[in-house]
Amino acid sequence: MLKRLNAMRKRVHITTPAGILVFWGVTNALAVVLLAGIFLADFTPDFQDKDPFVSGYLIIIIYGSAAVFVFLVSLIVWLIRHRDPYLRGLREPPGMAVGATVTFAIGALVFWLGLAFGGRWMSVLAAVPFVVAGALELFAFFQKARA
Amino acid sequence: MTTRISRPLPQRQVPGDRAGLGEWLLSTDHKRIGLMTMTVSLVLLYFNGSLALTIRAQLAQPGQSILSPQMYNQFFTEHGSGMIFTVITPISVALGVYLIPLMVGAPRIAAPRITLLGFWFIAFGALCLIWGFLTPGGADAGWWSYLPLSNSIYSGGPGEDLWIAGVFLSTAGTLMQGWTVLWTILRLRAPGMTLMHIPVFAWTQIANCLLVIAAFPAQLAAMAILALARVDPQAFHSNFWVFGYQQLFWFYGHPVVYVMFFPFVGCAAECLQVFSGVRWFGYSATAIALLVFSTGSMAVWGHHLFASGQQVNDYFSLTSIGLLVPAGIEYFGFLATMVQGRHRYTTAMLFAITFFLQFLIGGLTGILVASPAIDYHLNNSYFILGHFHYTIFAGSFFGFMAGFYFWFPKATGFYLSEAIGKVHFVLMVIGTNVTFIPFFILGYIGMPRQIASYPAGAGFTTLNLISSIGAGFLGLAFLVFAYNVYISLRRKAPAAANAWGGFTLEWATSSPPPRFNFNLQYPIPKITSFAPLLDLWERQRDRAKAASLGDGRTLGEGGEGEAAALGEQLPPPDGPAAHPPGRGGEHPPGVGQEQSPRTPPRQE
Repeated sequence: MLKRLNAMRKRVHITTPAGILVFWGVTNALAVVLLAGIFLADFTPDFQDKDPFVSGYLIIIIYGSAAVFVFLVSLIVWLIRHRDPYLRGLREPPGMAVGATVTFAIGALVFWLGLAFGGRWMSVLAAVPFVVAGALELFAFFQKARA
Repeated sequence: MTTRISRPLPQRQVPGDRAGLGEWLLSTDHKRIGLMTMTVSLVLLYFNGSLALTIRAQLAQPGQSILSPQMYNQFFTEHGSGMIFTVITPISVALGVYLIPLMVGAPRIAAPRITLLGFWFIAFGALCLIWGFLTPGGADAGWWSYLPLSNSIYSGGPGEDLWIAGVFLSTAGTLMQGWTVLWTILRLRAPGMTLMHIPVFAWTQIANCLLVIAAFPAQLAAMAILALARVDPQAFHSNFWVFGYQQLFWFYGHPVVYVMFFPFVGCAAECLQVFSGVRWFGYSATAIALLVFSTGSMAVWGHHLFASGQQVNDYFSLTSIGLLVPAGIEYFGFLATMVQGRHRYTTAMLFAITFFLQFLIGGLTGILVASPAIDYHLNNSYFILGHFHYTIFAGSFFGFMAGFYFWFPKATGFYLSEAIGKVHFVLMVIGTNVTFIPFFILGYIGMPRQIASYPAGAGFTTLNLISSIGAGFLGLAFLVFAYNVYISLRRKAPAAANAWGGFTLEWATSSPPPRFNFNLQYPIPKITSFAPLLDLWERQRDRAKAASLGDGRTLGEGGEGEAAALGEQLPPPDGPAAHPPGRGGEHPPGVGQEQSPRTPPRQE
C-alpha cells in the first residue's frame, strides 16, 4: 500500500502538469470548505435578514463547481498524458480547413444577432454557417486520410 | 551537449506562410494570431480611450452639457466594457499566444485552430459591442449590467442585446485562447524544459489561464441569464435571479482583474531580470506564490457585494486581505532582483519598474476596500474608480508597455525609438498620476461614480479639473506611442535575434521568428534553468577563463557547438555594460550585431 502511494506521489508531483492542476484544485477546494464553514457558523446570527440560498448555498455551489471543474481538467490532462502520450487525438488536419474557423465564428455571431433583432429565424439561420464549418473540418480530415 | 531538433521541421508551404491579408486572417501560426489579437485590441484601446477623454471633458467643470445624461451612461458603459472585455483581457492572453510557444521551445501552439477561432470570437465580440454603442438607445447599464436594469423593460432597444452578444463572444474567445496557451505550457515543452525551467512569464500565464478556465464559464452563464431575461423579463425578476446574476458576474468579474494583472507581472519580471543582468530572485517561491495568488483571487469576488447585505462578509474580507501574502512574495522578488542587478534604464525597464510602483498604490487601496466597514463608506464612489484604474491602467498597462517595448524587436525585427519611448513614458507617468490620484480624494469626500454632472458648490470642481488635465496628458502620451510605432516601422532600425541580451528561449531564434519558431539555423539551446541563454553565456565565460588560465580544466559540457549555432543570440557578457545606451538616447546601435570589446570570444 505504502509503495503504491509513494509511486502515485511521484507521478503526481507538483511540478508535473497534473500536479499543478491538482494543487490548484485542492487549494480552491479548501477555500470552498472554509467558505462553507464560515457560512454555517454565521448562519444563525448573521443570516436572519438574508436569503440563505442566494447568500450562502448559491455561492458555495458556484465556487464548488469551479473547483470540481478544475479537478476534471486535471483528470483529463492526466488521462491524456497516460492514454495518448503523442497527442494523436489532438492532431491538426494538414488540409487546414481554410475558412472553417471564421465560418464557425460567423455562425455564433448570427446566432447572437437573433437576440438583438428579435428574429428567431436569424438564430435558425445560424445553423447554415455551423454546418458549413463542420463540413470544411471533415473535408480537411479526409484530405489527411487520402494523403 | 546541445539539445537539437532531431529532424528538420516541415518546410513545405502551408496556408499562412505567405503575407497577404487573407493568409494573415486565416493563419494558424500562433505568432500571427497573437499579433492580430493585440492589433485589434490596441485599435479598440484608442477608441475606448477617446470615450474616456470625452467623459473627462464632460466632468472638467460642473454642469457641462457635452454629453446628455443618457449619452454619458452609454459612454461609460462602452468605455468600461470595451476596455475590459475587448482590450486588456484579450491582450493578456494574446501575449501568451505569441510568446509561450517560443518561450517553451514549441514549434506551434496547441490546437491552433481553436486559438484562431478565439481571435474571431474576440473580433466579432468587439464588433457587437461597438455596434451596440452606436445603435440609438445603446447599452447604458454599466459594465456589470445588473438585473433588472438591463432587462428589456428598463433597457429597450437592441443596444443591450448587442452588448450581451459582444461580451459573450469576446469572453468565449478569450477562454478558447486561454485553453490553448495553458495546454501548450503543460504539454508541448521542448526536451529539457521542465516546469521548473519555464520562464517567469510562463508561470504568470499558467496562473492566468487557470483563472480563465475556472472563472470565464461563469460569465458565459451570466450572459445566458441576461439574454433570457431580455426574452422574458418577468421570469427573471425574482431575488434569486437578480442576486444569482450578480454572484455569477462577480465570480468572473474579480478573477478577470487578475487575468488583467498576472501576465503583466510576467512582462515586467522578464524586463527587470534582463535589464538588471541577473536571474529573477526567488524563482520557485514566485512560481508557488503565483499559483496561490490565483487560487486566492478565485475566492475574493464577494467583496464587490459587501454593501448588498447578502454576502458572507467576514469570509471575503479574510480572503481579500490574505492576498497580501503572495503579492508580497512577488514584490520581494522584484526588490531583490533590482538590488542584485546592474541596471540598464531602457524604456521597457522604466515601464517595468513603474508597473511595480504604481500597482502598489492600486494594491494597497484594495486592502482598504477589502474591509467591509470602509467599503460601506467608499462603495460606488470615485475612490473605487481610483483603486481600479491604478490596478489596471497605472499597473497592468504599464506592464504591457514594458512588454511591448521589450518584445517589439522580436516580433517585427525592428527597434522602437528609445528617445520617443522615453517621452511616451514621461507623459504616461504624469498623465496617469495627475488623472487618477484626484479620484481617491474625490471618492473620499463623497463624489459618486457614474454621474454625468455635479453641482458647482459640491467641492469637486478643482479636483475634477486637475484629473481632466491629466487625461489630456494621457491622450498625448498615446499619440506619441502611436507615432513611435509608425516612425519605427518606417525607419526599420534592425534588431538582432537577441535584441536586448535576453535570457529566455524566444531570444535564441531570429527576429521575427520563423514559421515553426526554431530550425537548424536557430536551434534550441541546452535548457538548464529558466534562463538558458544566460547559462550558455556563463558556460562560455568559464570556458574562456579556464583557457586563459591554461590549466586544461573542462567546465561542463556544451558551449562551442551551441555558441557557433547561436552566434549573435548570446546574452550580454556583463549585463548592463555590454549594451551601452546609444547616442542621443536612441536604441543601442547594432546591439547584438557588433561585438563589444567585452563580448566573450566566439567559438567559431
